[in-house]
Amino acid sequence: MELLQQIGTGFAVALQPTNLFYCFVGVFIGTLIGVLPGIGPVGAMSLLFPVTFKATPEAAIIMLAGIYYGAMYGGSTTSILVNIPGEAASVVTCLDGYQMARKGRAGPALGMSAFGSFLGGTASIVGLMLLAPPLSQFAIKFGPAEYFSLMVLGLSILIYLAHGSMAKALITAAFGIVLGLIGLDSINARPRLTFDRLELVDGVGLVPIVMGLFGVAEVLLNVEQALKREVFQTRIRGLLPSARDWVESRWPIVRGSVLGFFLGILPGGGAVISSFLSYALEKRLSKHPERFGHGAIEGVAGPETANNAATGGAFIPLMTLGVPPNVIMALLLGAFMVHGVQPGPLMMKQNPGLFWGVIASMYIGNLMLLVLNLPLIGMWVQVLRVPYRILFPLILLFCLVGVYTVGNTVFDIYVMILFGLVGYLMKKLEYEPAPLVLAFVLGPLLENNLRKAMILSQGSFAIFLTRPISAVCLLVALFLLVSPLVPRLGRKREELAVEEVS
Amino acid sequence: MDISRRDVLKLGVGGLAAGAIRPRPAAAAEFPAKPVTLICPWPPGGSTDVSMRALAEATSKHLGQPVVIENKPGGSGTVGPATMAAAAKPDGYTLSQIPITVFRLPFMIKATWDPMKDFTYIIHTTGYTFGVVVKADAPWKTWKEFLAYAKANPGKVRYATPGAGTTLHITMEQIAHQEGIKWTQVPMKGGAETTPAVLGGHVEATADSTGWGPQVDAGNLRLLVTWGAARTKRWPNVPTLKESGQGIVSNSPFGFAGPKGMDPKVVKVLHDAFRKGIEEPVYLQTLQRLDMEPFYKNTADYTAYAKELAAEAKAQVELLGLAKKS
Amino acid sequence: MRRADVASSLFWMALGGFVAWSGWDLELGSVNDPGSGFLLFWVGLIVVGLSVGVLVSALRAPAGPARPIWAGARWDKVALVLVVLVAYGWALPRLGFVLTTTVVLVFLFKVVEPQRWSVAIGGAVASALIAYLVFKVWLGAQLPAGFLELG
Repeated sequence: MELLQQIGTGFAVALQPTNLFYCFVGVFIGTLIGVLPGIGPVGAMSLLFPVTFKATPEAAIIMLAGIYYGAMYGGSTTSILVNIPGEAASVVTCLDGYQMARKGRAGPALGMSAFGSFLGGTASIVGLMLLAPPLSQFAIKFGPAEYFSLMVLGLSILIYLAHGSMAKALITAAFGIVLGLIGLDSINARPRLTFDRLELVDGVGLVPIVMGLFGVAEVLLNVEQALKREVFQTRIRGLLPSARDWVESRWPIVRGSVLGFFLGILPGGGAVISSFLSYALEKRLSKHPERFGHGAIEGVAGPETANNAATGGAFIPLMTLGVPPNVIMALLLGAFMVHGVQPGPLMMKQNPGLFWGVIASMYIGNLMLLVLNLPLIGMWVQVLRVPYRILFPLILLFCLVGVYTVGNTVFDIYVMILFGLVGYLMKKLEYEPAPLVLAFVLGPLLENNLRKAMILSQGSFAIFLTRPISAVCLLVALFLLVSPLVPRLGRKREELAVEEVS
Repeated sequence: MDISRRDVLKLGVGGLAAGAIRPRPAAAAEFPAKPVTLICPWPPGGSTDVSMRALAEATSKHLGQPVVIENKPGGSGTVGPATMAAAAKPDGYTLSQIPITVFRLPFMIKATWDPMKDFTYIIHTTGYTFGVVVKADAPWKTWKEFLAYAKANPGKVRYATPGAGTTLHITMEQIAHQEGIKWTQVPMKGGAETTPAVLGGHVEATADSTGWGPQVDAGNLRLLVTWGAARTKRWPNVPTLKESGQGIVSNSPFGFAGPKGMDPKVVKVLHDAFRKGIEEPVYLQTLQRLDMEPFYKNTADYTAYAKELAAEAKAQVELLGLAKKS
Repeated sequence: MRRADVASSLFWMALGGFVAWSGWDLELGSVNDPGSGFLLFWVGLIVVGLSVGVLVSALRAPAGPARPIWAGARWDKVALVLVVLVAYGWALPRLGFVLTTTVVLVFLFKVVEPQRWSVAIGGAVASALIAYLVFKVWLGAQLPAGFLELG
């Protein structure tokens, strides 16, 4: 009963006209920067930060939060249309979303990702309302040993990302780990593989790598062919998902919501792992795993739901522990503090209006995003009608500006070009880029937590098995690795056969 | 030619960019004649960035020109100053925040800058608040008890820091050195991991800036000691390291500098404007909310202090065996 | 023998070897405090092992690729695009955003797949200005001004 009353308070705050207005501004800017590559929610939020000095704390936080989940909504657009993932969480969306677009099904792909985002986002807000306090206790149980095992679990799904040769997929994953380790060692601040370059001291950026491997490489592959032949099928088949699409997507959406919400609570890469894990899970459960990578709508619906559900989860550590699980939440923490509010265990009592108001505004914001995004699909699909010879310089411009605005450094442009070439050669030589990205994100976390766990346990490996959460993660990883081997032997041949025909 | 290009641009951008067309650089006599760029070598939104934005706003008034913040994060806060030292003209229009790592890193890696030669120090402004926390149900009620336990049980105490080589790590090891303690640092990735680590019982203590604040106020963590020169306003009952007999003040202070060879007149104009800026209530309020402290030094004092900082950094790096090879 | 796989596996082998050596050089540490090179060393060795696997299967595979991977490829165009992108990176801080973008776009419109001059110049100018407007003016991103100081 008390809860209902609190939710009521929240909506009373969120529905005030000023707050509604700020919410709309937030989600609108969020959508815009989500669509534009490079400049992410962090950049936009920090730029609007001074603006919020003059607003009430409620309005300021509502707007900044709106930018965050709004950006997650828009993030899939360029992945689907032109194979440019704006951030790591939308890399998996490229795999099937872009293939759908090439087959003239950009509309359903965009539509399903909008609906999936809405449903995942809403589900995670419900979870946030009901479960925030108990889940904060769950979050602090995660120490280095638990994280290490979770990363092992995350990496074990690599096996589902591989299309052709498993050895090649593992090589690219290993390459990803190595790239992730470039820079100052987070344990003892020693530079690794930096070749005495100052730019490498902080490591290689994720955005230049993914934009190179996917966006630039795709342009190179198309430019290589004579552009008379169009890249996209111009006959557009449907603007919204069909009944069949819905049937195929409903369970992926449910599973994606749960995965995203729980993994979003955990600091470091929650949204990324959840999107990859959701993809692997759907491929594992599908009766036709061979369709994945060739435009399967489940491969869009699941991950897109998961990465939006993760946004709700990410608020839990911030609002209940006062601990930001990622950079964006760190920015929000700054915004709370500038307005004299300290997020943490006392916030629910000291500022109930703000706490519940922000949560309620996220409901409203998600609804606004759905209404805002669905009509845009028609417009986005038109983009693909532009002849590729005109489109490709613009795609490149998009990548160049985007990657520059992330760190304001030309070095990132060179990194992106290099990875454009790498991605192009990888495609030619039949290596997959997706495992590289997953390993790049998880590798450093794996290493860091392994070493921290060993320091904590004074060198005993038993720490990974005696702690229950850690043991469970390792068991699931083992199951994921072993289970496909038996039925897979038969299935793998079929898959390969299909690929040779196509 | 110049004029027509401008006109075309104005037409094209609908006058929105008009304000962006800047006058030519001016001589020192009329400094400043255009906006001053202040490089923040940290990502937007962090406490340093937020405090600098507040200071920029407060200083603009007194300088008569906007102070524009440009974020150039990287290299533990050294990429920004290093780029400035290498590329910017010493005309006073490009300045940078100078974090403590500028002094420390050259002893750890092959660096492109020399903190003693490549900068013109202008004004020193700010320090952070650091402290050590333990879980509220931990057996140690005071810092003294904690130290006694650590001394009696070598290797038992594990403490989290936001990273190896940070001021937190280095100060904790200095304390250990002084008191004859052996404890284990567990370097976390930034502040977001240190508070949960101590809350969840993964480590015995956490040494960090005030990210633990809300948990201390909520009674889930106990603050044993703070590292400032004086007790904090927010937790006046908690003693400082200095009064506990360690004699250390550790607050990772920072100031601002330009490239080497700046005109002393320009330096004075900048110093005076920032000096007035750091007394503006907007800035002081922001600092208080971020648990940072004003730490003012004028141009001459800062220049001398820079020498001290570098010597200190060298000694610390060597003490901890982090010095670069060769 | 699949030539492409032979070449790529040799490349990975060399890279893996280098990574493993770097790891060794950075020290492996001990069990209760694994060093900076610990993971690098093992990952490097794994890459070497895997690439040997790829090499062996490539050598055993039936001669000649089923479809030559460079067939019909206009790799000169690919190289041209790459060079233009690098030139963009070089010129950006020197010439500033608007000018560099315009010139590079005209070039891409014109050289890789020739358009009419009107399309190329009009498209380039419009795109550069729109990008400037959206990123710089609306979103306040920091784009280099260059010597013209149009920043």
